[in-house]
Amino acid sequence: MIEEKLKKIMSKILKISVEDITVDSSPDNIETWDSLQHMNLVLGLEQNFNVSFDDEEIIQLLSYEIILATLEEKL
Amino acid sequence: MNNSSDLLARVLSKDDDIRQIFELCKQNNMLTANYATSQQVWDFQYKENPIEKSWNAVITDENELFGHIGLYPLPIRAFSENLIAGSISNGVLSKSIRNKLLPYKDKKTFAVIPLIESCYSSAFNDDVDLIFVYSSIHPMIWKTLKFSTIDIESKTTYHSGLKKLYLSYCQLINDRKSKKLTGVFGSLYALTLTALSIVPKSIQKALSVFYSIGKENLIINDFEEFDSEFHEFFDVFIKNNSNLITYNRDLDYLNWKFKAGQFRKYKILSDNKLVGYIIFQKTNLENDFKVIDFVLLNQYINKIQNIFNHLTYVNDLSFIFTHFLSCDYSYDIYNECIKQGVAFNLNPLKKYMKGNKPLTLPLYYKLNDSKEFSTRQKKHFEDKSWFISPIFFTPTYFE
Repeated sequence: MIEEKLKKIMSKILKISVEDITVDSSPDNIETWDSLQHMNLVLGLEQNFNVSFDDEEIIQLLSYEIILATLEEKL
Repeated sequence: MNNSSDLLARVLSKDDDIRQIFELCKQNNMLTANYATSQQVWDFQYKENPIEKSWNAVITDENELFGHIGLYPLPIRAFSENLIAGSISNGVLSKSIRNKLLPYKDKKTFAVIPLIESCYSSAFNDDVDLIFVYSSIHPMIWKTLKFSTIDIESKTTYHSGLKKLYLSYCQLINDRKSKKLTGVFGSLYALTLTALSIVPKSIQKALSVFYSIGKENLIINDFEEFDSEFHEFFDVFIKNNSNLITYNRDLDYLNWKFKAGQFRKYKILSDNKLVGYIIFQKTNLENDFKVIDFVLLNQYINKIQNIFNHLTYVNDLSFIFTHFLSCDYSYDIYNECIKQGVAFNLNPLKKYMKGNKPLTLPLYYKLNDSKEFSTRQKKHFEDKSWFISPIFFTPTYFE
């Protein structure tokens, strides 16, 4: 459930298809994942999952894998 | 494309070729005078300011510059002290590195974060008391950098004579290109809006003559330079508003900032004594201006109608005044302006409609930890005590 929802959010914000999102997805291999979209992504995650990320976490959420792990810890 | 492992954020050095920054600004369509697109603008902002300081950081791979951010100094008055703030002037990042990760603390993050941090860190190391910015950059960036946020509501009033108001409505209708409001219908609608906006206020103003107590002999004169007359004026203003955090209106600084021809400055005198001033910046339209700074001694705020009537009818000016409602003083001015001006929009009934939310924009600020502000002082920064005007956010002019 979390995975599916996360992929949908990432797909919408980063403007990529859900199928293109893998464990390794990161700014290194997704061109649209720049600082602006990263912040939009963080905001989208906070709003959709009803969580809050501190400043340390914001800069660490740099791959699908890390985001998923962080969300699973918080939820 | 550059390898992100070669990129780093650091303070600008004298060996860096700042022409690359001008080029970056042009490539990113940052072409207004606020951005450093020429040596002239750069020198004005960073070398010729009276405090003679500036702080600049870049993203570089040692050969090429891929990003820049610059802070210039602002004198601030708070807690009966003179402080120095740094305010962001230019910021540009090459599209080629916007998704690159650079070292930041013991991790990696997007380039904009270490770029901003390098810049304000150098300012803090140079004894700057605080950094603030009125920014449209994503709020999460400021949260990551641990800036505090104050949401400031802004409202705009428009002041002009009848004819200019009607023409402004016509212009606005034309700009919106509404199919239903062309030709005669557009003109009739503009006339209706003008009547709805100004006629009731004119009647109110006429009636107020019968019950106004004491007439001030206010004189309004244009002026070129801030001179020693303003020293006493500012002393009185600060004394009467000691709770405010505001721009420290230092004469050298004001004369540096407002020497260009596109600014128009007026003194407000009562019995030959300076009681206020207003600075306008010209817009593209003839005799159309926007208020950059307006300071009036508290006991004269109820005379704003007289002052603005003089400016609009005698000096034939029309101007917009954006009020940043961030302190009681600003609210007092805004409320008086509403009595004389108009809330300028195409639907005069808008204020009665549901869902008409106020416009708020965030002010981000960060205090220098090494300065040891007291708890009371830190709380004061969070309160509605900032007297803000566009003077804070007009870092440069240039012609």
